[in-house]
Amino acid sequence: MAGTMLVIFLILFILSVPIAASLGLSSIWAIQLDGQSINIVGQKVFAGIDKFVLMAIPFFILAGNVMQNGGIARRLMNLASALVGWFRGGFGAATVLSTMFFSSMSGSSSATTAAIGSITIPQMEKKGVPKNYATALVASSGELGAIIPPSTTMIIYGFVANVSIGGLFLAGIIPGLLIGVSLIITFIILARVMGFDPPTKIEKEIWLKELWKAFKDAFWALMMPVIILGGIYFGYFTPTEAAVIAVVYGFIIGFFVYKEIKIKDLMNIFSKSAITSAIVLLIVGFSAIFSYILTVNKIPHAVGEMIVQLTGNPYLFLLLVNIVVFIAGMFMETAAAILIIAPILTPVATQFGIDPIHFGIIIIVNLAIGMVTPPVSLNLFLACKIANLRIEQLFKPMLLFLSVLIVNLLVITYIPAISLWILSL
Amino acid sequence: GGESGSTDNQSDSGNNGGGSGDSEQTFKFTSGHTTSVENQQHVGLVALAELLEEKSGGSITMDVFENSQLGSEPVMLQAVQDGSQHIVATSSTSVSNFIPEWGIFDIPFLFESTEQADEIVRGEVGDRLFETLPEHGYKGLAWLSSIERNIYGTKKIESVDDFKTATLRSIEAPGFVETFTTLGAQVVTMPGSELYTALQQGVVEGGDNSPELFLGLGHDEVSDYYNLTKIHYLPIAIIMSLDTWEALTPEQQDMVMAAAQEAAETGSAAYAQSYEESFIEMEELGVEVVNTDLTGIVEATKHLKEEMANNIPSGMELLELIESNK
Amino acid sequence: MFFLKFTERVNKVLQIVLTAIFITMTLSTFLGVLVRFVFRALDIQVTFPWTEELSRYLMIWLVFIGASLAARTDQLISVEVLVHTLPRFIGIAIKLFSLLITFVFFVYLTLIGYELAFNQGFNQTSPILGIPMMIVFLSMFLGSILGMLNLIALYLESVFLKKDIRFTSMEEDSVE
Ligand code: NA
Ligand code: NA
Repeated sequence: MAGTMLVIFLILFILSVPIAASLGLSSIWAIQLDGQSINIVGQKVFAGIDKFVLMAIPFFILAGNVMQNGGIARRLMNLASALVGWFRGGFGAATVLSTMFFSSMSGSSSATTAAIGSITIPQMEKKGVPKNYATALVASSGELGAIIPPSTTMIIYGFVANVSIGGLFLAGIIPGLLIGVSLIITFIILARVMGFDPPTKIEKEIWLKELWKAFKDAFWALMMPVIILGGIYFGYFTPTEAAVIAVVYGFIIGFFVYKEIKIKDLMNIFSKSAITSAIVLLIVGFSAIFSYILTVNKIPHAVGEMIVQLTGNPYLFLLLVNIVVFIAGMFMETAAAILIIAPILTPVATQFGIDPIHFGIIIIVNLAIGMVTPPVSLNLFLACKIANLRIEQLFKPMLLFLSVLIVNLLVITYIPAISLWILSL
Repeated sequence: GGESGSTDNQSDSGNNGGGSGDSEQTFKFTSGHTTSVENQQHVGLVALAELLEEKSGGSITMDVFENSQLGSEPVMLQAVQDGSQHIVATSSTSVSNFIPEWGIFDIPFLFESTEQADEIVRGEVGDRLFETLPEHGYKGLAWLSSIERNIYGTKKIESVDDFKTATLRSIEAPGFVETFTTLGAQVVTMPGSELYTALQQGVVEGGDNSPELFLGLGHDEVSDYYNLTKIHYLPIAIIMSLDTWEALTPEQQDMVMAAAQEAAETGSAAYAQSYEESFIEMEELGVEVVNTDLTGIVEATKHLKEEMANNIPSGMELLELIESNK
Repeated sequence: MFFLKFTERVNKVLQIVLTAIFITMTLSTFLGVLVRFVFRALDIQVTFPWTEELSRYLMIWLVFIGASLAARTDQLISVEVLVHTLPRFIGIAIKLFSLLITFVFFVYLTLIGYELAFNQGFNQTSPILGIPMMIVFLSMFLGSILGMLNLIALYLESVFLKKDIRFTSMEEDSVE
């Protein structure tokens, strides 16, 4: 039954049938071919989405859209460029930095790419950064949206692998900083070697003045991650509560402080966020019946045993996992990949003595890279759309940034402390 | 649907176990529970699987899925209702979502001890509840031990006054929420999987569960106190899909019934043993076991008994039956 | 064309419904937070144990209504490698086939949703609010009917307006 299901799934999946429908139909047909009642499909799908923790997903998506409409991305970019924009490669650095700021408020990496890219790509171009390098940088740093908390990817992982979402959020902070900093360094070296994005001469006093102005302007936006992460860290609220607070807070500053959200925008913000959430949650729902069939047929168990027989070495196991997940990330959307992979691999990782939170971060970072690996690469696609470029034109710069990201992934994989240290505080 | 289960689903029932179509049908049951492999639910179901295979000479086998692999109790009950899952071990509270009568056990201080609860549940009262099942597509097989739910966490509860300043997580059952609220506590409902983090981070100060589940879930790591509040004793039932039951021959039915009784005894014995061991383990782990003064708590919730029973179909009748059996 | 206009009007209403659901969901969840922090601090004794359940059920409605709207612009996430790498004609054929399959998917969901809402939903009540689960299960039934409606509109639009159906999903703002 599970075999039939997997074959049908693969065929539908390759024929570009929506993933939710591929998961649903392969389950339905496998059940029917087995001569059983398909009533169970509805039950499992409802049970799969009837979860309080999952509500953090629509709320963080909504919060991201509120920010985008509330003029927050622009203020963050202003602050970042005031801070680091004056040295060589500074505008690239500011792009990454503002992405990091925005990532700490938005739950999704595509929302982050979209919000930041539209502001930063034209600005970098003005500073002489080749457009394809600027675009590649935006796409690559956009993945931080899923790594720096909050992150809808982490919510889904925590949910399917039964791991603390608050724990994952905290564990993502240092890996996010690490990737951000290494992208900044790469870009500065690149600017020096290729001679673009020259330094700006600026008086110290004027600089401080401008910095202070930008900081004041962005202050209320910057309080957002303080509230979200501080609240989770010090135990005031759960991720779902943090998400709804982010929404309310975002509306308050968008409406009353920055006054950039208008009543007439509301329906568009809400319905767009609702549709985005629905698309993700529909996959969550239908993966519930799909994994149920896998479970009843003991497939995760069998895969686990197979891997353990293949290697008893945890280092080799992690390398294998990274390769498999990387390939999955090339072709699959993040949420779908996690929903299918996490329930199978996490128990095996636990057998190898790997901390489930660390393992989660490895998978999340890997799949975040998947957002910029063709052929299925939403961030790359979005950034190209903003810059009006074709994906092939990004080939050279992406090769460079991708290798930096892969090195980061390996470092994060083999040094658990990068993820887990913060939890021991 | 529930009502149709007893009559017109007969034609489907051959599919339940992937039968061969011969007179001597073979069955492969799927069963599940939400606890880990050390708990009575697992011990009981595994014992049942072994007994079934042994007594049927291999024609009936059963897979046991632990740790909510097949979903939460209500989700499994739904699957059992339409026969896609065959057997479930579940608490009475989850059944009450489908059959309100089963909510009777959410009334506070219904029993004084596990022994008392088990004796009453395995008698007339339990039979009455099992009689409500077929109409909804279920067949009751046996009762595992009732579990004693106590409140644990970062809050020491010595008397009724301590509830007034407590934030407690409750399972999603009106009886529980109402009891804790009546006692003056702030009540948060959240899935059990979030309770660990919630306790760790201080989102709530307490939750309730039986001693062995408290330890099994690792909640001792984030708790300082295990308060013996003894408010609820929740029965755990082994329930089968009526479709599956009716697909069995009368001989097989007798055999399944006998096997379930025996398995339930094995499971209950495991509960009794782990109950004792849990307190020794708590002492080793440095969790303080608090002998809560129950008088004020019983007093403050006394009026709930009839109030809640009145909201349950044949609740008063069941309540009187329980009281008269004490 | 009448059908397209009709669908457009239905979708406008759905957008309003979706907004209303999302706002209620936000307020209900936020109320739960307020109770815990603000009311408690002010020593006001209230509990609203229903906020969580209400929000969850609203989210379920949001998923099925939202998914039906997503179908209109081909936004349901899929892997479109073949659609875009193979020659135009084959790409379009694959795309149309995948939309047909999606339609079949919605047909199944309508049947499953019907069974769930009108047979099982009557017998089951929600734990906290005590409402019949039919109210929740109805979302799948209705959502899939609306999804089919939108898929037909998408198909008709590409036929009558001669749009290349492979690129419909890219005209909208993309989403994760
Ligand atoms: Na983020
Ligand atoms: Na990819």
